[in-house]
Amino acid sequence: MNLSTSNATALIRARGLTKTFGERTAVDAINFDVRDGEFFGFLGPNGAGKTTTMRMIAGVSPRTAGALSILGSDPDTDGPRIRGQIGVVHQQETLDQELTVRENLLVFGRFFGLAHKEIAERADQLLELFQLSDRAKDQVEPLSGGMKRRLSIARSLINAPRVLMLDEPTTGLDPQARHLLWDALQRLKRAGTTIVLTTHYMDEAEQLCDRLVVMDQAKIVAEGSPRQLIEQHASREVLELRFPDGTSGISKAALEGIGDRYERLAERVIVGCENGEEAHARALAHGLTPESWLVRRSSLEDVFLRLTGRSLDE
Amino acid sequence: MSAAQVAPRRSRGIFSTIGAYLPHPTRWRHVVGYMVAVYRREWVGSVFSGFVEPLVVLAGLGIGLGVLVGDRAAEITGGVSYVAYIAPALMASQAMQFGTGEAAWPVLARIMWVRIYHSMVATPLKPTDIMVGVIAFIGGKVAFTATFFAAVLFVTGIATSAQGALAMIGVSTLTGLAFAAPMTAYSVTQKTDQGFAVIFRLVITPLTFFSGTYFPIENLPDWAQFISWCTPLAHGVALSRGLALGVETPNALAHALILVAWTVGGTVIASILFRRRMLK
Amino acid sequence: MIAALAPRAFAVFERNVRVYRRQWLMIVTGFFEPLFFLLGIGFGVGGVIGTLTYNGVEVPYAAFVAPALLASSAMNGAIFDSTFNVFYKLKYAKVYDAILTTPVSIGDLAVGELLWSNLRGVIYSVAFLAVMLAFGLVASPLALLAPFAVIFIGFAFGAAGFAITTHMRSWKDFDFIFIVLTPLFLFSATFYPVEIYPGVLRYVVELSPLTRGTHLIRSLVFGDLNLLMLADIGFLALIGFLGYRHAVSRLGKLLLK
Repeated sequence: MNLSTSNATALIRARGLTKTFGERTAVDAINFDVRDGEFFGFLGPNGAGKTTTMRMIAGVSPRTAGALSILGSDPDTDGPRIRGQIGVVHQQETLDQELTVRENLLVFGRFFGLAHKEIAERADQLLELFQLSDRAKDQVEPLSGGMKRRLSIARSLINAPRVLMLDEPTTGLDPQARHLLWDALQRLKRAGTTIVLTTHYMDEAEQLCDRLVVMDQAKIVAEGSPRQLIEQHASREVLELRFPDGTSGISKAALEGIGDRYERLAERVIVGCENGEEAHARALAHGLTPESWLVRRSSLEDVFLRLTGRSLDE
Repeated sequence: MSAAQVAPRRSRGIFSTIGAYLPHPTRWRHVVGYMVAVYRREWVGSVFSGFVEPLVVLAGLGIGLGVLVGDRAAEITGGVSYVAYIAPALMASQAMQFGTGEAAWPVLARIMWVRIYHSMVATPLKPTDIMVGVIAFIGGKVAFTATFFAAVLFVTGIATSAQGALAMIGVSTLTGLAFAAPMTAYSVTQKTDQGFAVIFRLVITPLTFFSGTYFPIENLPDWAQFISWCTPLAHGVALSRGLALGVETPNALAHALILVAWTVGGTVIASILFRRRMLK
Repeated sequence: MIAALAPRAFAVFERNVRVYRRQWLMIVTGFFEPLFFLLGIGFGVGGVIGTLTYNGVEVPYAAFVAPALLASSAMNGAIFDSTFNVFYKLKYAKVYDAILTTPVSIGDLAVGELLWSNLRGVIYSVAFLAVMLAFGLVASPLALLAPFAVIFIGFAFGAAGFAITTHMRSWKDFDFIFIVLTPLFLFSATFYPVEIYPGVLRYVVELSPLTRGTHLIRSLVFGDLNLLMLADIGFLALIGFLGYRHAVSRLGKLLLK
């Protein structure tokens, strides 16, 4: 795909997009394109600027500088038109506790100026799709975390948006609820919805995203498909050596030559290499005595580690 | 920090002046989710609601209406000014408001949200002990605010003697208890605070008007007089006014006994209902 | 009409109607407060007072107090909705954060909320007007305009309450509202004519928005059309407009940052 066609189909386009709060720069001159129909991710640790970027796209946070176009319009001047065509799910729960499950959808539809009849039909479809039909008349509060998140997403789809924006959609959910949500999102994508999400989970980004950008400290530090990012910024395999007593006693020299690159964490040494088994043999030959070790495929976590020098957990 | 300090906040309507602190129809979710965690009983706020506000009411209604009532005041007051007529009644009425309120939201908060009673029941304390303790504590708080009020009435000369002013504190405390005890009985059966607003609006507010506070009970129709004498406030008002004016209240002992009966009866019923709730 | 002119603001209004369909008891019982004041002060204390001179005419005390209670109930209905309920939606329930992701703007939001808080005031005033008719406290057919006139009272207090609420940090700040409202209610020509106040105090009381609202309603109920009513309307509308402007600008700072 050449550059001009990708521009023609970019639903969201940012150039030099910047947001400052007083002295602090939350988003620092970033560029990205989100194409029609793709699943696009912002990956990065807390405080990297992902949520601020999402808020600017959603038109609820005026940008400080740069250009931003959403569905061909500028959110500064055309906010209502843009918001009419996107759906937003906040990281923090914003369901209306004073309404029932179904009423949350009905009331929200009215904010988009839709007709009562149309909203009612769509609400019932969405409740069905997100497996909430039998809770339709219940209050919101007793629902489980997973159900509330599904309801939030169902609500954000009441206007049949062209773009769905999800801020940390699976944070705080148990593994089962998380997989349920991933399935639902993939169904939406297949139905043609463009989805933009932020996450600080590597596996989520790897599972869901066609393309993603890695953000760190207000900047985009890498961009591509999960596969491309792994190929460019990580080696094929990873050898993890575990040292429960700490890694401070291990000298640089001892690590030289084991693999292509290494990162020393508190209790682990991570070695990027072509072949993990061979690297392990070299490590033992260098006199290293890890308590345990494992070899695995490189993941986005390794990419992130490689790009920022920090683990996501830190 | 004691559980009493995390009482959820109450909001009051402006129609609920007259020493009346009507709750705003705050939905229980406000309280459940947030207020319990957020609210600390602010000393300044409680001084305003317990003490300054009744004085504002006294000034606003007593003085202004006093001008309108004018010379006719003597017909109902037996010679004193209209302000002096309603002030001791407002003191009793304030005790009712305060006692009822303290037996409503804080009690429910401790049952539903703080669940301090649940931990108390797990000790050798019996449910009845807890109820008596709770109601007595409210009595203490009523006495505390009544002391301020009595001091003001004494300094302004509305309460004609120091002994009378002291005895008024006792009457107000008893009036507060006569409402706090049955209200506690109601509160321990509740799951949300929705009923409280209704009780304040439909019971407490009319009582502030029709218990001889602003005009003599005798001016009411017979049936209304009867209802009024069945409730505690009319008795508290009669005693309080007699003590302030320094005149003997007819049937004083009967008035006091009725207040005691409400207190004891309310406490007994509260204990029974509380026991049923805790030990089921 | 409003639905067609401002569909998004109307959708915000609709949300509140839906919520309160389940809390009708709160609305119904709210009506009893002014009624008890009318019975207790208007008729009870009024029985002792007898009549007073209003506009050179002897009127029963209850007839004098009733229009003021009607005005106060409109203020009450509007201000509680635009303070407590708005604060809950703004700070805790994050209802506004969700709404602003839709085409609804902050202006739509504020208009929708004010429509609703005003409706409460209008409902109370209509009910109270019926009570006044039943008790024979209405001197002029112009009183039927009172439910329209209370819209100005509701607008002034609703918008002012909304504006103040955007500065609230926690529930304890709401004590401030009572510190203002109780004296406002008691001293705003509600229970006695402003002429009672000596010297400059009278002019302070005249400037109370509730005094203006009460004057407006009282004039209608007694059928006494006068030019000062235009000043009442202008003053209330000005407070409402400034409150609305301030609320919108504050909400923008709080929610669109």
